[in-house]
Amino acid sequence: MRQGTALLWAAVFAATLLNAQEKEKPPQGSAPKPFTLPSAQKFTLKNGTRVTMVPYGLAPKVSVRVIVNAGNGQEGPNQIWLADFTGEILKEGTATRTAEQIAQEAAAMGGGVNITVGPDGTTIGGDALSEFAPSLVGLLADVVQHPLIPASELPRIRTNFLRTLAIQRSRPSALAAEAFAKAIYGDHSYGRIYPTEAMLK
Amino acid sequence: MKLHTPAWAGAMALALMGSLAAADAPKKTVPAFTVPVTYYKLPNGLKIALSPDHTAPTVAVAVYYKIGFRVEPRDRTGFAHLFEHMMFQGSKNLGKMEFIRLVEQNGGILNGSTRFDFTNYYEMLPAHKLETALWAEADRMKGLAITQENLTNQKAVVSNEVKVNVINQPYGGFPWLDVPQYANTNWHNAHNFYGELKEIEAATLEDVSKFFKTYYAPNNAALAIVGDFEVAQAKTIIEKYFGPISSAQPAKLPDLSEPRQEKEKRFNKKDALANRPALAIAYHVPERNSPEYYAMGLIDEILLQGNDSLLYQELVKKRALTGRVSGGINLLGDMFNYSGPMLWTASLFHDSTTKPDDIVDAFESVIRRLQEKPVEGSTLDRALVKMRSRFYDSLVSQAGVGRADLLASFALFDDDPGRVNKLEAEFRKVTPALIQKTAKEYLRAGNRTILTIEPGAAPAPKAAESKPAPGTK
Repeated sequence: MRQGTALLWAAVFAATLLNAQEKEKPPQGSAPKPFTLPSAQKFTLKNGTRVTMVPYGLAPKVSVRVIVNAGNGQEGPNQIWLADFTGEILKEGTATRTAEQIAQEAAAMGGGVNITVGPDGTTIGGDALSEFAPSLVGLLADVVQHPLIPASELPRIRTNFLRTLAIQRSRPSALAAEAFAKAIYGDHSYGRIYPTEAMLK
Repeated sequence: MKLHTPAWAGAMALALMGSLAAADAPKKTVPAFTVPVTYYKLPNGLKIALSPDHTAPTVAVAVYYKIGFRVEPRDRTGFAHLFEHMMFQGSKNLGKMEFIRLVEQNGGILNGSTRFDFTNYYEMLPAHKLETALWAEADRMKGLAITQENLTNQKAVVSNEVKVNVINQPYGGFPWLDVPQYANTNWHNAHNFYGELKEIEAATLEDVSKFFKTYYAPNNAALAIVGDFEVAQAKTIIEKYFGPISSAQPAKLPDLSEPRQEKEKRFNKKDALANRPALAIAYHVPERNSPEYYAMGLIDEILLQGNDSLLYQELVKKRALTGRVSGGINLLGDMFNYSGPMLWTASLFHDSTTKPDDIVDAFESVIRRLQEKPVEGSTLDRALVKMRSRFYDSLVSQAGVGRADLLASFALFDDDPGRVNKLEAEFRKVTPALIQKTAKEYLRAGNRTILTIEPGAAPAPKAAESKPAPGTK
């Protein structure tokens, strides 16, 4: 940068050195506002299922989550991703609904059935427009209590998991996560996050 | 193997959360959910959209500048994004990183991003810190105070970002960065907007100053505030901090148009880090805000969104070609927050035993169903419900940032943030006949670009660096 242009910068940009003492302080704002959490309604069904209901927000939407206390943490050393297979096949129909019907019913309410498997739990859930809240609960109850678990879908699901595993093993973040889990948890189900191909097959 | 109910049910908890609407659903002429919008402009041209929401004592403040990577300088690919980084490096009253610390020490979260047609800066804070946030945004709108050291540091940060996210990743830029470069022909829509490393490196302080003066002026910006605040009080604070900022000569936009694509384009890209092939198909979408544009949004829901979607049912379930088909209109946002030519893209991973042509055949068979006859009323209804549901979410997502995004985008591109409350009516006008007409024109084979990713090392470059075939105009 030539001398001439260097002077031009001082005019266009505020010089940090010169104005160090003259800097404005940010305004503090006002006093913190109070906030009361909406009160949750809690009860237990006869079969032991614990229910929590929380009203919140302005959007006419409802979120329903069924959380089962079973996940990857329950897997034996040669069963890695068994919980994921289970979660995946839950979507493949119930005693009274085909997989496509489940998907279409959920979509007609404005959502879908999503199943997430983690170390400590499996969450079967969906979101819908508020007017369909009871229907969504009914749909999820069916998926979670009366799954078809059709053997015919297993080969396709297996092929997908094999592909997912291969793709994950090419990603630096996945390899780092695997090494990290192993370092932290060692020989524990939390420390084993990717299966071998043989386990999946 | 049936699950036994008693043992399992005892370990289960049910959580249900949301606001329950009235028992009888409202008639379908008025949206089930609208938001308050106050819109005005300062004398210096700054567009302001205010939308209170007193659900929680938080506030989202968003400043959008109407400059994205389409319009960055020709020999400075990646510059708009590099400039976004520089906005955090210091202004008159905030030193390097002090903006970030100010927000975080006040219990806030912040970020910024560069897109096709805007660069945004936003923070979510406790509601009583609104004035703090507005003071800080006005400070950096007035001018940057940066040194060569700041710039050198951020050039290295951005180059590292490109390496981590693109160059050193399998499928690094796939499909979001790759596909526009192959599908478009106008340089502005078809260049590497993350930046060629040597062009990022070439940026100077003079470039930064010029860019700021041209594009970072109040008359080229919108401010959106969503959350727990009072409109009258906000207006006073806005006037105090943003009122005195001078406007600049409005920038002249280059021609951003894309010619009508007449012939299918196919490209293959080798990826040395990938070990499974991938495929993307992209189509140029109708002009923004036209009736066909709204039809395209519902076509996206019908074809691609959710497990009821036609591509999921055909490619994932029936033909078992893949585990998932992803995509939508505008992979760097949504169908509302852009302004210019745009693509609808679908992409998937598959096995090497599957031929790309088989995937394209399956794809075509699904599209033909939309072109050969009008869709069933129930299919269209379902698409509309999914769209409404998704849209209502964005009006309350991320402590107000979702709504601010729509308000600021509609202010910049349409001079009408009130559009947030008018969109549903436009989608309701879409008929099965319009879906068919739109599918015939915009999902025709001549309008598509197919990109296949092939695992394996690319052949050694012949001349200079080998790049994907870029737009040349």
